Amino acid sequence: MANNQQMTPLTEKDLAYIKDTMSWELVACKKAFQYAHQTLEPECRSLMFRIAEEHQRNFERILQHMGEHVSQSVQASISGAQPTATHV
Amino acid sequence: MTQQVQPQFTFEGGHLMMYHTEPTGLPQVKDGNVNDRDRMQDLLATEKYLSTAYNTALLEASHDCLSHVWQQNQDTCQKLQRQVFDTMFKKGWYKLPVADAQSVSHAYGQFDQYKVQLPFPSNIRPLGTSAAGMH
Repeated sequence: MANNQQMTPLTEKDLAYIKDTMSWELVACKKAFQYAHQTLEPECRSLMFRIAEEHQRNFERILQHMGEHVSQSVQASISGAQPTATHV
Repeated sequence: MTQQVQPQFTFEGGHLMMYHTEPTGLPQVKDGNVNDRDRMQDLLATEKYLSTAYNTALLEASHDCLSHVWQQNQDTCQKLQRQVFDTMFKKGWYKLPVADAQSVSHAYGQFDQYKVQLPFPSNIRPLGTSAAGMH
């Protein structure tokens, strides 16, 4: 995978799916963690803790990707409020 | 990682069932409360759902980098789904009917005949040929 060439901005659709997937990962993580605490059987319990952790990693992975877009000027200069030079 | 278990087989209602029982398996209390099996079942459904959701999301991604992030997450969900299933099977919470040998060989024969419709020469070794790389 090519490393950050010129980063293209997120589309509205991208953002919608990002918000959806992050919400689901958050719920999955919290649910598995709570279930783990309610479960006595050791094998299921440890699997549930692992599931919770993996979903946290998934959440963080998406958040990090979003962060890269936030720190890039492309998103703001193309779709942000401030007018660009080409506008004038 | 869940280790592969050796399944057992019994006849039940005219079907050969494949299952596994834990020698240490605790008797589950079946009352109105949510039990271990319910929780596992819910997590299994969650992993399946997330995996499907990621599939839709990554097909719709506008750039490769985002699609790659979602693919990695989907991989995780698929692996977790397998692990939940394997654990549930091991605990004896799944009984699976085995397909009968006749149906399998019938289907095999049918699709074996369809081979002639394929455009490229076959890469499959004929049955019974031993290969070094196989285990």
